[in-house]
Amino acid sequence: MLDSILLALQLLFTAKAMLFLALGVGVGLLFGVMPGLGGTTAIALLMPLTFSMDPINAMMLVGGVMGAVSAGGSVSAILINTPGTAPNAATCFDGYPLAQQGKAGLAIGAAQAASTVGGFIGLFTLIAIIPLAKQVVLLFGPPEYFMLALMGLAAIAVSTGGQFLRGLIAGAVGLMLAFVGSDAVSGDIRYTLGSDYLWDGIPLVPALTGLFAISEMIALSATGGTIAQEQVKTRVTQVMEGVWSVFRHWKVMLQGSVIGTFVGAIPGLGGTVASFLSYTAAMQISKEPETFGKGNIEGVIGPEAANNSKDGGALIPTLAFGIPGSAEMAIFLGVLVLHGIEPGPMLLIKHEGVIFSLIMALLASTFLSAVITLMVARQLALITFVDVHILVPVVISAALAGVYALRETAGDVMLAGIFGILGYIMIRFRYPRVTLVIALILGELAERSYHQSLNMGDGSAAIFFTRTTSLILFLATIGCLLLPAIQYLRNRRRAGEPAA
Amino acid sequence: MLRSIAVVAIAAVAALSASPASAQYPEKNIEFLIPFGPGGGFDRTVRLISPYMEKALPNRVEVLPRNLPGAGGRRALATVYRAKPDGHLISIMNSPGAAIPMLLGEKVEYDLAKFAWIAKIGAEDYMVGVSAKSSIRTIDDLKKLGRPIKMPTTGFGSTAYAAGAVFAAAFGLKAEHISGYKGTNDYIVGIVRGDGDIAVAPVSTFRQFVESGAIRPLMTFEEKSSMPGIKTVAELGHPELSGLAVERFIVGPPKTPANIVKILSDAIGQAASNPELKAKAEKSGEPLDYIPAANAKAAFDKALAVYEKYKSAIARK
Repeated sequence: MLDSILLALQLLFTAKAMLFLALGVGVGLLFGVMPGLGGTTAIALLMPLTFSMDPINAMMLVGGVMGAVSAGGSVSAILINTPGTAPNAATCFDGYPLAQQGKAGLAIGAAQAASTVGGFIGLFTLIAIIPLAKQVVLLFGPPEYFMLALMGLAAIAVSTGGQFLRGLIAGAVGLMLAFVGSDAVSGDIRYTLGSDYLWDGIPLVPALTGLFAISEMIALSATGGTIAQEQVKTRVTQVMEGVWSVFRHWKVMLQGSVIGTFVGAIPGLGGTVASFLSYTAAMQISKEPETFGKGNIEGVIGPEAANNSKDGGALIPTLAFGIPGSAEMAIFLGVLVLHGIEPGPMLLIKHEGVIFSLIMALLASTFLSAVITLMVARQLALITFVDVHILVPVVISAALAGVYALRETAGDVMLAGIFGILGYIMIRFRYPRVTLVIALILGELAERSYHQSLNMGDGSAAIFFTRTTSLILFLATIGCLLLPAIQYLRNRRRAGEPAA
Repeated sequence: MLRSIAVVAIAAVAALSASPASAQYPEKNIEFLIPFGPGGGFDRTVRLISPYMEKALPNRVEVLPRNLPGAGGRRALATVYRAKPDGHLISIMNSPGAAIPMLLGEKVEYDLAKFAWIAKIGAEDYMVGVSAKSSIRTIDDLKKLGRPIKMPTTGFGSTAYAAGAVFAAAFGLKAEHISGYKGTNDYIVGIVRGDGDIAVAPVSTFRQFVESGAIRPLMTFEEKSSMPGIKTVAELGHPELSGLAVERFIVGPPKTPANIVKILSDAIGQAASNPELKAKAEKSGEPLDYIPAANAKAAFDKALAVYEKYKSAIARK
């Protein structure tokens, strides 16, 4: 293994490999910044290009893209409240309010540093875990997936941002939306309003674009002015301060990276869940949870650390058994196959060199993309000083064009519009969007793995409690739910003491 | 006035209907639809073959692969079904996947018989495997279990689900599907983990799991077993199931002129016999298996007949 790592490092520093890596990073950043388009689209488009390359260079290109997209995507999330890629959506919550306060530089700096450190943590965890990857994957079957989904859903309770009842309502709506489309187990078609457009469920990218970008643009055009409400001269500073803030808030950064790696490793979840859960977790350990959503830098650090560390995690099932841990990984497997490398349990044994060059490329790309973004952060941030009458039409058309380009369906554009209105109503009436998104993404996994578990256990729910891993996850979930209550009681007692 | 409009209209219609038959086909780039997202076997096949098809076509045009996932593959087929029959939009098709909705009595937006059948290009034969740790060593052991066998698989209505159901029904086994796994590797790992007893999946995906010692093969649906010591379905008394596979067909819109179908079919045939492409396909683990337009529909019907026979096993319980 060490030989392969050293060899991959050696290969990384050849001119050709560097060239492909740089090309990958460039494409990744660009596709990341563009709302709607993401890593999946970028790799799919580059796939034919890799045909004539040797596998190592192909890995440089693919790794370059994968490592860079979320760095690019965080920029649009912060500056115009439009998640560049789905996993950046959670960054909007606090990144955008920071931009409104004229602190876009700070947010971009923090996002990039968190991405880099998170990415490194994810990949180093991967390297450490590779010898045990198979055992780790085999520990998690349908009952465990269900418990994980339940744990994520439980996080809704602590992420309501002080609007408990509204948070639960939004979560319930999210769950209901998650059940639209064909039932993954029985194949039944539900709540599709008689159109085959909804057969595959509510598509995530258009929904997120609507909830965040479109809704904010509606709100902006209602108020007028510019995004940055405080005209802090026309200068953008604090980028380096943002970078350092990540190390000051190292707990959130570390927590986000761990969540990202872990969630990334679970097939079918991926970066969006990782970043949302990291966001709610950051809120949970914070001493001032009420400042989240109003420009708390920790709300940027958590999700950004998570959405980059997820790549390391997602590679665990991908390399162990050829099960894609995320959408990008599914296409990455396709690239491997085109190069005659069949994914499966023999992948690591037969093609260790190729895999380690991908890991090296990811490491390099995570760092490189952050450096590039930081260099241009000041210029990029000027967008927040543009008059909304110019900005709104540009952002809406770019966002909708991105949504359309992804699957070429007019329905997606309409759905983005509908979710835009829904999002605006939620902003107006102070319903938290984070709970809706978490439920929307986790609902399908919860339902599917619940049915599968019951089938496995002959219809008895005992299966959830007789398996060690599943039981541990269940107890952890209970613990997470009780934590805020305990904290509340303790705070009350403490607050009550002086008076007594 | 009205009359002159009518004349112009008739002339326009005549001109339009004449154009597909012109000798210049293909006049522009050909879009090659993939009814699934990037990364799978259908995607791989189209992307592999497209550049070689380009070389084999009479005019210099490009063949552009385009993923159009949606509604379990039905969206791309419906798109081709409604397209202008001029040979500039074709699609790869999953068999028996495209026919399963009809077997289940569901309404679809296309009539399979009316498509222009251009070629068959590949197939992945199925096999049956159990975890290497399982006590099950033969098909007979399955019968002796004394309880329904548990079969992890993808969703209801999928090809893998149907293949598993056909296998169980033919061998007189009572099967309980644990459906909803996202992909083939997922449900194979499912049996390695112990989620269920057996998996019915393509040989090409199973091979590495067998090689790594995680899976014990029980039987293969291949005509000639590619796994040493493993019996074929014919040898186990069910020759009618020999060649049970996911097959890849290429279709165009209904009423595509025969000469255009022939040009496309020939180009695909030429591509399939290109030594460079053959080597690439071989390396990707799935050799190409070309059948020209003339016999493509018959090959599809033959495969479908098996599923027809076990319709009730595939249906909802």
